[in-house]
Amino acid sequence: MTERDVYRLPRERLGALVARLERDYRVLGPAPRGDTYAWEELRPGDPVSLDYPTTMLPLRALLAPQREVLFTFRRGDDGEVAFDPPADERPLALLGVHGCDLTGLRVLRAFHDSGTRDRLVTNRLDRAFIVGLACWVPCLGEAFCRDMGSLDNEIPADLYAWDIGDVLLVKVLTNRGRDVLTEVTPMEAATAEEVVTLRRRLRVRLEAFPQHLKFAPERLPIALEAAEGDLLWDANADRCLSCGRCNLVCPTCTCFDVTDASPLDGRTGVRVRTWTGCQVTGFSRVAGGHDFRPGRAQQLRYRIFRKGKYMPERYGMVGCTGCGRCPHHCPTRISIREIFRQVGGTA
Amino acid sequence: MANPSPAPAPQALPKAAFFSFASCEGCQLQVLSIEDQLLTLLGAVEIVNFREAIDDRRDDYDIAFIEGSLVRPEDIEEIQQIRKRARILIAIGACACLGGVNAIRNKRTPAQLAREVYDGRQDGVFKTLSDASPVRSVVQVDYELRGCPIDRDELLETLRSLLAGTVPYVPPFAVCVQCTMRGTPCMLERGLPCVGSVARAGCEAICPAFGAPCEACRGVHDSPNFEALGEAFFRHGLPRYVAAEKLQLFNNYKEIREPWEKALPSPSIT
Repeated sequence: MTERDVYRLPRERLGALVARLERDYRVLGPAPRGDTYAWEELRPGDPVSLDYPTTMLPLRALLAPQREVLFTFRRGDDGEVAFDPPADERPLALLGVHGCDLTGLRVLRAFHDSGTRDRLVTNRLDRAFIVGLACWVPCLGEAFCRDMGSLDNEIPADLYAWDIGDVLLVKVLTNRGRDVLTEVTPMEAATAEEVVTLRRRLRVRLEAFPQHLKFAPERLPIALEAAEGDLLWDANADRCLSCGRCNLVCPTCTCFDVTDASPLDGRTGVRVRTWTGCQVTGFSRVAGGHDFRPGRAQQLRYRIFRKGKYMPERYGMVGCTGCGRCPHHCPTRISIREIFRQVGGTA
Repeated sequence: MANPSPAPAPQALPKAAFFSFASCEGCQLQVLSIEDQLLTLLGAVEIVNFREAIDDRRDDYDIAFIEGSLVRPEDIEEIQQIRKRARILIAIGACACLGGVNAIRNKRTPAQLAREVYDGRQDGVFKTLSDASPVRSVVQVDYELRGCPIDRDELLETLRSLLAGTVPYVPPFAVCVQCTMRGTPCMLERGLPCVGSVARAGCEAICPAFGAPCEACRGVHDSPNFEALGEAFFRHGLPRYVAAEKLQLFNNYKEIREPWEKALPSPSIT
């Protein structure tokens, strides 16, 4: 970190930041929902949460939503069928994105950039203004973001903030970020004292994030390959409900189903993309009722291999951000962290 | 697509009929409450028999919608007659598809029931079968519209699908899928006895969205793990037998009960 790139944003200026962003963006931040947090629209004057635990649904719910109309179609009186793309949307500004979720956005981009580029998702990513936020304590007991290298990830944020009390120290990462910050603050560099405070807090923080894995994530592909025939898959799958929650709360799951919906007259309709996942019952069932990946053990192994082996091999980045959502939201607490620990032992 | 489809002549409309067995008739009311699309529906099918809605009753139907479970000896005969006349038979609602709440009594004998409910009186009490049964236990059912009550949009989608000559879609997965996508905080995490993880989706998880745990009114999904359901209850501070108590509400017909009965301790109330 060079002090030159770090500027002071007094806490009371957060409202001004929201107001500035609101001119060009749909501004969202984490807000309480039940016992958890969810991304909600922020209006100028709304409080901005800087110490929220991680949200249940990952950010992809905003960038590649649960249900998305790909196009609408209608048949005119002349019999011709016309297709319409979805209407333009306001770009998103996301306030207070944790390192794990920033990493999730990187993986999301890698997936949607590959093969036939998905413009709906990549356009949203391109246009989004992102303010990253450093974490001081693990937000979920099951988190292992430090092990997976996402605790300190700042990409693809435009601005990245450390909350050190009355003032946020903000690092500028893009020109767009600089332009916005310039309009909201006089661009005062962090004082020497503030930089010392930040460094001390970052050092102390490591104690709050103990290491859970005894190996680097780069070793996961080899470790997993060695454990392919292990009994641990069956042992874990015995308590799997096939409810799919692990997929749905994952920031890097990208699988979807495509269906058409139409009213009774059959003249108009929409083509819709809906989230699904490899642990959702029926996911691997194809024409004729054949299931190419039957059984919970195989399905669980596939999910873990996708995160720890297939994604690193295909996109050059590990598919697990260590956010801890999947064990935390699993009704029987099947833990990807524990499985990684177990396979690490056999490699 | 150069040829515009001509509007079908009125007499070409497929004829539909609704029949009711043991039930609250709430599913028929759901059909009537379609309101904004009722006229579209009536433009697509001709309804020839619908006790809740019309006086006319004819027996020349193509599609028969069946609500309710079969509880009396004469129900068997009647459903067999309907099956003979209908080209397509669709069971609607939890009673017709699963046996539903009527099947809660199935662990008792008719004599026990007469004692408990009617204080042993026999006069004026009609003869009952030993089990309240879903329609498919007696005749072949072509399609099932699940739920207590059925979902209006799903009914329309099923009709649209049949008119278009395609197979109506039935979600094979858990209620948790739609519940999580909605962003509803988990009922189990709140200490509520929810069986959504073994229950069939299609309802958009409407009950949890309004704070009520799932009771599996659409039956179970295609790969339920009842041992794991007990484990999930236990891990959230709920006794395993409570899962069985929740399941017996809609899923107590013998063939449906058997798999969860094997995996979970007996309910404390039967």
